[in-house]
Amino acid sequence: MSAFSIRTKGLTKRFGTFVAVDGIDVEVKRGEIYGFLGANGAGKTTAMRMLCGLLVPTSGEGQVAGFDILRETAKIRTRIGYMSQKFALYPDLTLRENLKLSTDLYAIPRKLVAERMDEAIMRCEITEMLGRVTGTLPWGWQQRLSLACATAHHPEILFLDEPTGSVDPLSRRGFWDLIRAEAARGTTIFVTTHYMDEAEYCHRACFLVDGRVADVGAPPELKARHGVESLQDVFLAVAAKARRS
Amino acid sequence: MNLTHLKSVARKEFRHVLRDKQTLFVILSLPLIMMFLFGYALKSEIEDARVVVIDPHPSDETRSLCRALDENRQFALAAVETGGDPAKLLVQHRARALVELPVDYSRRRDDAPLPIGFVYDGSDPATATTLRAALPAFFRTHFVGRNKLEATELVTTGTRFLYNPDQKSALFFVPGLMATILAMIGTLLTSVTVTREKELGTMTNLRLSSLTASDVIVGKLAPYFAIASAVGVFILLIGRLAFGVIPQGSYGLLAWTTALYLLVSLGIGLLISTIVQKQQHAMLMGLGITMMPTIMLSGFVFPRMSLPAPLYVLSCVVPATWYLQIVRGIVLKAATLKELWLPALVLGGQAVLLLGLASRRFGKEH
Amino acid sequence: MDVLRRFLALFRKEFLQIRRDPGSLRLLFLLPVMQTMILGYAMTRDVKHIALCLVDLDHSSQSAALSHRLQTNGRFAFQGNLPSLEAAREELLAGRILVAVAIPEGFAASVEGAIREQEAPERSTNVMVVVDGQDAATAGTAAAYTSAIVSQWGTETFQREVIGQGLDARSLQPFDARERMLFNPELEYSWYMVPGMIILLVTMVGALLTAFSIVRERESGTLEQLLVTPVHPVQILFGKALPYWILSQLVFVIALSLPGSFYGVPLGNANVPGLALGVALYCLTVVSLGTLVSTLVSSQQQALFLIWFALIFFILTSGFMLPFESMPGWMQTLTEGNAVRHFLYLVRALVLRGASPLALIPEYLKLAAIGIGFFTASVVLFKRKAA
Repeated sequence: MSAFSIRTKGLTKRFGTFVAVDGIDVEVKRGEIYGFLGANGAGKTTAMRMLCGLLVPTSGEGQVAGFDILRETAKIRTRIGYMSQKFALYPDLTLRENLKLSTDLYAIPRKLVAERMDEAIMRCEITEMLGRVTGTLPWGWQQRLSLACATAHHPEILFLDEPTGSVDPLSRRGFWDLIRAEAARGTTIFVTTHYMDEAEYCHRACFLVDGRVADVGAPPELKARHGVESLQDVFLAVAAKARRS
Repeated sequence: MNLTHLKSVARKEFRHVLRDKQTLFVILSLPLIMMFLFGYALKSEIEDARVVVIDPHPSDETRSLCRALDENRQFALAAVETGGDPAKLLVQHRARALVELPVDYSRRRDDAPLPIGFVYDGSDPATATTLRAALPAFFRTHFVGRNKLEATELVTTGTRFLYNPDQKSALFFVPGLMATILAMIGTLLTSVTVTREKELGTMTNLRLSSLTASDVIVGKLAPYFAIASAVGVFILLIGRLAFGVIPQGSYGLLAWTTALYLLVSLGIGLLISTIVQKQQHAMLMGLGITMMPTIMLSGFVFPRMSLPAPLYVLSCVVPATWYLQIVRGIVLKAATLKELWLPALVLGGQAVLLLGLASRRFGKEH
Repeated sequence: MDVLRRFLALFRKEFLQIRRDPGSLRLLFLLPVMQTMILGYAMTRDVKHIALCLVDLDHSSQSAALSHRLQTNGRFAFQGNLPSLEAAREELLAGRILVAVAIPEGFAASVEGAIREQEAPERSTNVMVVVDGQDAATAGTAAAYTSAIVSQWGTETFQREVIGQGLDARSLQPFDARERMLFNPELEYSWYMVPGMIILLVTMVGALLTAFSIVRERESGTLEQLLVTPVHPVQILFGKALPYWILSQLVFVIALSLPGSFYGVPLGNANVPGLALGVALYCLTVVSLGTLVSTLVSSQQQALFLIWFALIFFILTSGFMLPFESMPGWMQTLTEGNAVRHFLYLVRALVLRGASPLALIPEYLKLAAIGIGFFTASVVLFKRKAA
């Protein structure tokens, strides 16, 4: 078993003449929280979607959970969980129905379904509103439901695309508690965000500028390297030469 | 109503619409396809209707009869059998009509007429009705001169058609197409688009912005008005170039009455968008209360005069009915406002009523 | 059996969502039923209540007899006698009448002369019929009808007078027409049109709802969420198609039974298993059209217009409103791919002619081919679009 959950080499995505992701090499260690940081339009979401098998790379290669992202996407999908930027579950189903659907889609063995569901419900703190139709609940509940649906099948890697959205800082902090608890269980977390303060929670952070990796390392290491106090400043330093956004 | 605000809303809406090239393509191709179909492929006259002849005793006479039948433009001889069950043949749809000749066809009878059986497939009443008159008529002309006393045409008729002397079908369907497609754009497109913003939550929050309801309404409807007008012109252009349909009357009158009709359609579209919450509902409702009555009741395809009383009353509510009268009047009869004041008034009234109602509801909603 | 489990989960979810959208359900069922009930009577190409005016310039007993015949005929709505042809023209221009019949001066003299001679007059007596020609089809039918009545009056008058003079009327007729009208003896237009109308409405609604459902998921992002799970794109399409396939059949059956009985369509004629198979196969093509369109568009609005576009073409060339055989040969061949045409033919054959399903095997096969073809294309395009 590889020590790396995710590995890419020269991963590139071109849309016509526009190069969204320009030959990135990424290595994510098993069990770590890996932050993918950058401004809007830097290519974070595109890169993540390639790793999840939602987008076919123009060139380059990569392995996720030990499987090739070009040829073995079906196997990859059984081992990952994904939470997109927008709420992507069914607003007209109840919380419980959405979760149950997830267990069926991931074909969690029937004997384990009840147990996994209860566990996910408790972990993500959505016990009270199970019978409520999802669309009627506030964003925070929908978010936590998405997390529950993405983790009920105990994925090896969890992909989170701007998971905290534009929620207040307190709720963002609360959500990161859940993420860190997930990591503590051994799940690799690959998370994109444009909130630089959230990057402090990551074991390692990677800065993406104009589709290329500008810098990567553990937060203390990055701050020392650029001689600054916060990751926000690190970002300003590496993004100074940015051409996009 | 602030003109600058209005312009900004309109401009945004225009850009939005123009970005959807696929829908624009469909809106332009639809009239083309329909005109092509109506002009070249669809005919209401009966031609080459299949007829089977049962001839138990073939002879030179019967053979020449069958040949004449086949050569006639209206009929196509499907088969000549020596026997068989007419019902079975018609069930199998081998023909629309069947002629049973008597065994002694060649025998000249002066004292008793030959019994000839005509069996018709009544499942298509239009064809059956036509054949029921056409087949015996064919036989009558075929037999002229056989007997001493002829069944004569004591009285004949000479028919003249006013306004459409060549009976060109294009003159008939081009106005109907205008009515249908303009209704489609005005109502369906508008209602689905406006409802979409509601569904996705991107509708301008009037309470927060400095825009008034009328700014938003006029700004939103303006692009659809423009597109529909452009399509209307396009239809008339094709009608003229491809089918020689040249309006006899005033273009100016046609223009502003079309504008009225568009306003009515837009009003209905806006009204629907204030009633429903989801695009899907807007679409279903639009189809039900606009498109179907427009096609069925306005006189476009089915003659209005044949409607039973309650449906006739209903057809008077349908805007397309009045618009069709106007367009046909202008195109075919060079009618002026003197003759068309009533339809124009009705459309004007409907426009005011619908737009007013829709605006009020829209304002209240947002 | 994970494959089955995933598919069933999607199927169940779709049904749950359909149930929770009562607005659409109501419209889905009401639209075909109500529209057909109400508009069924409108769908006739038969011309009735023809507004007619008479101009009698002869003022004789013969012209009066002809006038009377026209006035009392059930198809005409007699508007009155006019003194001159100019007056009639004005009425026509104003749109108050459709047909004007002018009986010329000297009519009686000509008619009586012919009867005396017991021969065809060298010049038939001519009656003028002027028709408002705006609507070519209606005008043509009205004119033909009027001419036929006038002609018939002439023939009957001639025969009556001739018989009165002791001659055998039968010798005037070269043949004795024995007529039989099968399958729809009363020539009810509604019997012919109602099935077509139902097909039209169910098709529209079925295809649109299927397409909308898929496009909505694409627009909202839930489709992407499905695609990151182990679910296969084919399962997603099946999970969408199947519920709407079941639903469309249900709507069709209800829509056919209710308005059908209302208009007295002889549904009892039809071979039930044959009809059921036809409905099932046709609904497959409808739903597959929806899935196919959903792979070609990116918004619900685009889906609406694309389907509308396709359906207008299919319906106009199916023989629903205008006779199929009147289309040029090349057009008829083109419509081999038109499922509406085949299904319409099937329904009319089963219901109106009481045909046996065995004779309709070509139609069943064509429908199956079209449905499978559309669905396969949908799967291919969907997989491509889903990367």
